[in-house]
Amino acid sequence: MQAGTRLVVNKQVFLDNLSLCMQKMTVIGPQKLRGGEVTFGPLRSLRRLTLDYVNDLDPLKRFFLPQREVLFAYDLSGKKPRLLQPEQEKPRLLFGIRSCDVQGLAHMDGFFQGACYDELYWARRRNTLIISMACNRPNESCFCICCNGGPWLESGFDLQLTDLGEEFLIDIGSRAGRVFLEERPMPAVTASRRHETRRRELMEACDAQMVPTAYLAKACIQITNNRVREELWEEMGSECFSCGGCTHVCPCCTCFDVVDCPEGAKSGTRVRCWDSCQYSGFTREASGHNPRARAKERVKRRFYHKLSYAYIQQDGHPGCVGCGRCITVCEAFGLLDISAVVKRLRRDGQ
Amino acid sequence: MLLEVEKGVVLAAAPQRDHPVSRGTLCIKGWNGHQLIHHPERLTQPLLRINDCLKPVSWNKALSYAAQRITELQQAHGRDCVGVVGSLKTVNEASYLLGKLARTVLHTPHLDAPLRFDHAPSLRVLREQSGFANAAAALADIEKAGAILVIGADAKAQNARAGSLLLQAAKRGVPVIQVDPREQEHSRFFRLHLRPRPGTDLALINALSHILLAEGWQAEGLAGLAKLRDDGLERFTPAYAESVSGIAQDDLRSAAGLIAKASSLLILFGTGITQQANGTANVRALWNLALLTGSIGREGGGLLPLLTANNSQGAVDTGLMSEWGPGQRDLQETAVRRAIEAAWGASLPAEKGLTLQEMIDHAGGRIRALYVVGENLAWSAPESAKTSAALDKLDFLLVQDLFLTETAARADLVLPAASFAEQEGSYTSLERRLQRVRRAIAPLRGCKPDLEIIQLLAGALAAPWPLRKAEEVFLEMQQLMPCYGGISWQTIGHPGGVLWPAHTDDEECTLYRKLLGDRQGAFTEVSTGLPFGDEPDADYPFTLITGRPLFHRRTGTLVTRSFTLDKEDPVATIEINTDDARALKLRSGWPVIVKSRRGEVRRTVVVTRAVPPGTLYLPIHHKDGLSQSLMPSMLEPESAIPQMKLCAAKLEMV
Ligand code: SF4
Ligand code: SF4
Repeated sequence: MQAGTRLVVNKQVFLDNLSLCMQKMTVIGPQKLRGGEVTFGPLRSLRRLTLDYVNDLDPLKRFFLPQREVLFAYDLSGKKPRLLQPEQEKPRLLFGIRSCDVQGLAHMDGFFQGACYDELYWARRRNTLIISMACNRPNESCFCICCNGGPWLESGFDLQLTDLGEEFLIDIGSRAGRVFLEERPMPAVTASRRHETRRRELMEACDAQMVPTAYLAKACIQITNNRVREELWEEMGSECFSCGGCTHVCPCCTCFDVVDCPEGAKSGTRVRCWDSCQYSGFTREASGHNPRARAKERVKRRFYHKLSYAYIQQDGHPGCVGCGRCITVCEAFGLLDISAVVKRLRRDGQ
Repeated sequence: MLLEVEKGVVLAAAPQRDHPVSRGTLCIKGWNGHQLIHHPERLTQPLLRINDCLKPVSWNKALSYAAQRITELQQAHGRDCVGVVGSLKTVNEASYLLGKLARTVLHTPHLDAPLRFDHAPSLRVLREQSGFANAAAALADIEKAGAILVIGADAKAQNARAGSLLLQAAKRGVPVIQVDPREQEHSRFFRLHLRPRPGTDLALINALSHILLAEGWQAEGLAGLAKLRDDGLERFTPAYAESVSGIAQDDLRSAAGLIAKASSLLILFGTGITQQANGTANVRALWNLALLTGSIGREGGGLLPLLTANNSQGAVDTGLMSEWGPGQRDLQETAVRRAIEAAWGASLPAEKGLTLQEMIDHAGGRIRALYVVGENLAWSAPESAKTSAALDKLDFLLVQDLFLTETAARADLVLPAASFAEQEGSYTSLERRLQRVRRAIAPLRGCKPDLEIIQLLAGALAAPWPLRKAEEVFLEMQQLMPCYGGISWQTIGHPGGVLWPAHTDDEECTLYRKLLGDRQGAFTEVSTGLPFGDEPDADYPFTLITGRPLFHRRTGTLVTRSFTLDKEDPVATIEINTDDARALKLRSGWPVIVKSRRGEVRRTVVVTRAVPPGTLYLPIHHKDGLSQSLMPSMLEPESAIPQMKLCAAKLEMV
């Protein structure tokens, strides 16, 4: 099999193989909660797996950068101080991850390499096989087509599946993906013209469901050239509830805080947890001075990071994959999510 | 809210898109509050005071000691020497059993909930007028309101959901009239902001009603208008209101005009108007105003008090307020007492119980022992120094909490409780939404859920109570609570649960429509108002008001244990008007001592135009716990709420 060649595998056969993987690996996939909402979590059997889902509101970056994780524990009670590292995790398979989250991982990869190389992130990254599901069911807030975040991707996954009903059409994105297919008893055939046509139809149907609301280009130019009126930032800052939701759910946001949690004088843990540039404690200096004491400055900062040319040049793309999550979680509903803000910036510039 | 758990550890909180209220949002406390669950300071063993030191003991020892001390004291001083303080945070089932324990096993009438300190007047007036001690509106009404009056509340800071819906309404062009001396972050988006002198809300509200009536702008078909006019409203002319509150007559007229033009009026209010000498009179005046506009029982109208804790309403419903039993039923009514006594198979104490502040005031006298569940009284009650001294006077203080709060540190015995993530049960939100909370993890080793502790304590006190699960207790309490009738344990397990009463109608906000129908309820008396008892003078020239910032909740026991939230608020501040600061030669960032007639605190100055001249604004700060030490504890006569919203104060240089 060659990377780049699309294959077709019977859906049930593929899922049966996935089920077999659950014995050796942690298989994480979409499952229905009480009440019908879908969230990703470890699966012990196929019983709870669902293939009919809009994306999880809780971003899948959490499987690589958890909201809270223990970096190490220490124990000073013995003769020698002891440092306890977290256990090595079992190999993992992330099944059904949507394209925007895959693209988000690509963004995070960029951040966590080089000067900010992060062992724990990369241990999880290397440990996890990504089998993504091209998006045939966008949410009403999705706009990945505006941000090159989906609904189908060319890279970033190990395997990308397209649900054709009875079969999965598979794009192979990496050597690990190819090996996964080869090592399992899955009769695969090369995709025929019929399969390819169906794929195109699905893509077009998905595109048609998405209303392009994110006018990023104009907003990028205005932010880069500092052409947004201060009053507008002021207004947006007043609207913000500083809940931090927008950054927590964003697949492109990587900020965290590290705190020590002593348990008595002799032992404790060092913990890392998500932080948010929308919190005032995020930038407060030890002196008490805070360069971004007001919500106005924090909202401005968030969009500067997401849309200014300085960052686009550094990261290769804007800090948004169009997953639409910030639209849902924003307490200032409809006012401060990225699609609302780029619209406001564009109108303000006219 | 969903919690993510790995190997018995809560890692994260996640919002729930299909929840009808949150719709996928969480406030800053929702996102970060879970950090307290595994906080190293969590209590994991009962602590008993031995030689003036709290020492770990076993649960058996702790419970039998508690039972023994309570029994001894009751034998020596009578059964009503024990007081019980309920929690606004624990599950309904635990609250219900706590009430039952107090009233039957301990057989004391002295039971109250800290709701007394926030919304006793709101509940009292609403129950008097409608028969129900709860909001006469739901959150969804904010989306349907024709006009909204927000008074004595900062919705954005106190209830992000309400704040969010309010902002959306304002942005849609719905006229929002805000009444608050202080400018808030969202004030700029509201149509009108009236800034009365602190404590003068009564004149302002009544003047709005006066104008409606004088202009003939009231709703049609209302009875009792002449009486309302002649018995009180008449004297609340715009001119009088201006002289009292400082609000220009034209502004009052514009506000009344906006209200008159709207299809319905929704009133959101908070402790700014309840913790005053006129607390009850203020809520009465709001009721009259809502009624005049025909908004009671109408979609998009009514009264919505912003209760402060997750289960404030549940505490009222399950019978933790001193005057009402389960189902908010009046314990002074013979038929009610009989029914409850028959169901519980025990007699109820006959006399009226003391309210919360009264229990504190009688500590060491009539009250010899206090059992406090999940409330840091030392910080939440006014005149902190007096409260702490009162707690020290008790012969036996039993505290049940997650952490060694300032109250627990004074206790003779502390019982370690489980957090919200470690217990099963139900909560009732401020809009009467009954929902289940599910256990995400087992109770931390050594801790027990409140429900279990209360049952074990009853057992230790020789009551034959079997250890029951939340669901069984729910079924029992439903029998005594008509308001929760017809609601199944399964239904409240769905996202969003149900809004009671579910047996009347499934639709939201129907409570008042069904109950009052066309009648709309009756007007209530118009009070002239009392002077506020702590007037400024030459020595204490400022009026100090308090408020709660965004990342706070009650006394901060929980939020200070979340490192993210704790980081948000490192400095205790006091806000002063720019002109006053200039006169006193004060600058932002300078330390000052704030003094009232009862105490003093050290604060950092913030100079701002957000507070009017002559006023100081003290954000309740949860780290030094001293904010309440300045505030007076005298009671508002009708609802026994301490008048702790404002006081006279002065500033001194450090
Ligand atoms: S900015 Fe909003 S839409 Fe874009 S990736 Fe982040 S959460 Fe998704
Ligand atoms: S989600 Fe909205 S309200 Fe919350 S911090 Fe972000 S912009 Fe502000």
